[in-house]
Amino acid sequence: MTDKATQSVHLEEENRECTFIIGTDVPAADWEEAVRATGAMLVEAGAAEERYIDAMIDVVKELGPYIVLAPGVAMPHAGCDKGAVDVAVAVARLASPVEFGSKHNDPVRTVIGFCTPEAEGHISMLRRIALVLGNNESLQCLHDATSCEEVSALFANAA
Amino acid sequence: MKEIYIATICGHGLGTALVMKMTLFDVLQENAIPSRIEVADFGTGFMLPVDFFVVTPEMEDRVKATGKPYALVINVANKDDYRQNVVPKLRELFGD
Repeated sequence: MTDKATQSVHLEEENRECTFIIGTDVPAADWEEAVRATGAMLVEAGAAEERYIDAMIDVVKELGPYIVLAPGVAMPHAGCDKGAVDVAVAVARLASPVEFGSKHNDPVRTVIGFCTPEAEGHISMLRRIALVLGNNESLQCLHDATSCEEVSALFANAA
Repeated sequence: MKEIYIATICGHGLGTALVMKMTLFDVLQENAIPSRIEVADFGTGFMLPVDFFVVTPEMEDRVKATGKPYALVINVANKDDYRQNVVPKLRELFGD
């Protein structure tokens, strides 16, 4: 049963708010459903237009699974001009892992989608994501988390 | 060592390549390797007059076509990946 939580995070560097949406047990039969589900979280939060979801899918179809940037983690997104309304991150912990076709980092357990209307609007948010993914322990915690609170704490404590 | 001009490349230059730049910057600083790191998208990035590229394996064919030296990273946020796969290559190619 999908559990969802939404919070607002203040980005000091950019002096703006970032919406953080977390979902656990998100169902997806394949990579496309996984990306759609994550994109839908951004749209539901009002951070992106519906067309942004198709744009996220198109990037993977065109360029392949380069977005699987860490073991078990995909970070899909589209360009700033494809319907991004605000800076937001959606972390979808999938109910079961899916294959994206990545040589080294499949299967994907966690999809972290984001959108930003400006090229520089999300830097400090990316830095937090990098801190979680770059540490083997926190990366494993991300994959093993059983609640939105656990996932939220990982990113909140990243410093 | 003179400053090395490096580009990190991904689809839009907004996500993966930015994370690569952040992580690479920290590792090069800790190793006292002078660098200028540019983030670029796949459309224009491979035409940049860089000394070196850092990309993920899925971009390897495109970077090979440039004929420039490069390194691949698997977990773009993990500093050890850069310490093991990027730093030795840079020292070998550009070291004094």
